[in-house]
Amino acid sequence: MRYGKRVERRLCERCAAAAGMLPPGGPSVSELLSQIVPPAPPNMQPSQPGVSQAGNLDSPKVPASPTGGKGPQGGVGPIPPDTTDDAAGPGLPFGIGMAMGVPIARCPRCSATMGQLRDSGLLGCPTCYEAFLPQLLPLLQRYHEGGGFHCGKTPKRLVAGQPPRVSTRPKRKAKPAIDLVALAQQIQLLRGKLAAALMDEDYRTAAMVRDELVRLGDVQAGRAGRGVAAADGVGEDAEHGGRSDGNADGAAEGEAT
Amino acid sequence: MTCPLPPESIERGADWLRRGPDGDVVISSRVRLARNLAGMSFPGRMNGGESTRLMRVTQSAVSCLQLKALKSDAVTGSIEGLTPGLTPEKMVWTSIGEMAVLDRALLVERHLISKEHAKSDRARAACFTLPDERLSIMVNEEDHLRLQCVTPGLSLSAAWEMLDDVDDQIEAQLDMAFLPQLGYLTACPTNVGCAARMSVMLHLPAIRLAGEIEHVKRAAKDMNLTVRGFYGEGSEAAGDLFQISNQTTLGRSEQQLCEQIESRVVPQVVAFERKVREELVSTKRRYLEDQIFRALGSMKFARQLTPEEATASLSLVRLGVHCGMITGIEPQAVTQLILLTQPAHLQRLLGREMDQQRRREARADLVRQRLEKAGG
Repeated sequence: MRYGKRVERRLCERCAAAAGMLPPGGPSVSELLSQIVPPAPPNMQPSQPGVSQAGNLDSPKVPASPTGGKGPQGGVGPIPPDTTDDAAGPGLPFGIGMAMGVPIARCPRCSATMGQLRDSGLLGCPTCYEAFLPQLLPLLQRYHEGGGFHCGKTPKRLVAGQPPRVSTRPKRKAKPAIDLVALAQQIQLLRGKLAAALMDEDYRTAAMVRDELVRLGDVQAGRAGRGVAAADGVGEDAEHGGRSDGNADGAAEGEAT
Repeated sequence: MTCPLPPESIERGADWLRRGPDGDVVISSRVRLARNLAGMSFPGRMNGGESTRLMRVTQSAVSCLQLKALKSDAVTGSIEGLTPGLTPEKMVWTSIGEMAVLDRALLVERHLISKEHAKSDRARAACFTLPDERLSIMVNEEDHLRLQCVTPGLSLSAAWEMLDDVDDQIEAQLDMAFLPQLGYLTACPTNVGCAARMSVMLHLPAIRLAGEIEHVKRAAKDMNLTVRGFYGEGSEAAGDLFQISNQTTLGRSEQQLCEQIESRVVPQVVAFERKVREELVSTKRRYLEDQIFRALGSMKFARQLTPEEATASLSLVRLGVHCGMITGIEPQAVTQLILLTQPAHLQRLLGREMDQQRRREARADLVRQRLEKAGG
């Protein structure tokens, strides 16, 4: 309506988006997660009564995406369904385990899995961030438009090194086996190296970097690495320009977070 | 059955309904922070023991709060002194489960709690509210704590300043879940980081009449901001009331978000709304008068009103008051009437529960009575 007169415009989806006539907001958590973790088969769906769909601070409830696969911004593709849920072995550091050669995760504190996060859009406890950090980082960077690091307020008592009056942390806190922030930074660094090596068609280096990434628990590397493995399998004697390009594209996709 | 809002406050209206800076267009400014306690599951996975502990430590921390009045500066100068004796006071604790359904709806209409919190069946869902309603804390919503400060008009930095102080005091008491790289950890990853939602509620009837609201939404989206309705996501822009708020929380500080919304984005939207109002008055006066006086006429003579109809028409009446076409009523009284005609407000104001038909009749009676002296 414009000054009380009906204005009719017929637009394609792209033009409607450009004109701001589509619902606001970017992809939901569930949509983004579906690109990393595809839905589990019905008999594997975790039930979690009482957990609502995730929302932001204004409490919008975001529906779980009915489909996996690429989102509007492209990027991270799916990993096999058998790696999403209920496969982590006990005693693995920060829930990082292996299934079918690909890392999977389960929170060591609340036992939440990435599959449950995808379904509800909500994490189980603060420790989930540490357990799922490698998987969450690309999601966070994409949702927050590249803002991958906190640059806001820090609790004053942390700056001053003062303990709180009341602490709700467990009295005997298990010491982290790894420095998770350093781990996340190392994974990002190695992803860059992997992309550069693939661009240079240096598959020997790429395979080494990929193995290191997989060892550190990087899901994307595990997936992208299968492409490198394909290149590895046919040796280094050229004639595979097309496949090499494909690998390079795959790596670039993985970086496009 | 307890309600944190005393009967007199229902008539008085929420504190944020008073006129603040740029009050012709900006209704209120709000900052909301999500906080979770370290070493404890998020509410969706909490057990009974954790819920009890959360409630106990939160009550203890909130009871120690020392609330300051807003500082007297250029921004808040028009706010101070209008509600003497209301600040600072102790916050009132209320259990959601012990409240009547109508009182829960009242708090939702008042923007003190979310719709989801009102419907929560969690045993320890609760809220703390300050009597002047500027400050409220939801306990056991999607996150352990959601702190909120609402101030009148365009005064986002004043709201942030107050809430930051409250947050500091609570953090000194409680151990919050925080990682240096990711900031404050929240149940939903879309809120992680500064975990702050800063929003400004605007009345944009002229932009809507001119068919330009989609342009505002698109411009906001380009700046990682969202435009929502009066009651947040999913609510249509009832009464031409729109909330502009930040979409992302990681990678930008609270001050950056505050500065972007308060100093760069909202002033442009305010200027645009004023410009369109002026254009309407000067070039389409007859059309504008028709819209405004049709709305006033229906409000003054209707015998049954739905809340949607009342809100939409009162929005045009408010525009008419600001454009000088309607006299005999203050613009803030019209804004207050929009709130008072909401279902829960209406029933609590009249002191009885009513079915839908009775509410429509009572709403029309109330609006007629309040607009008795309004005219062109």
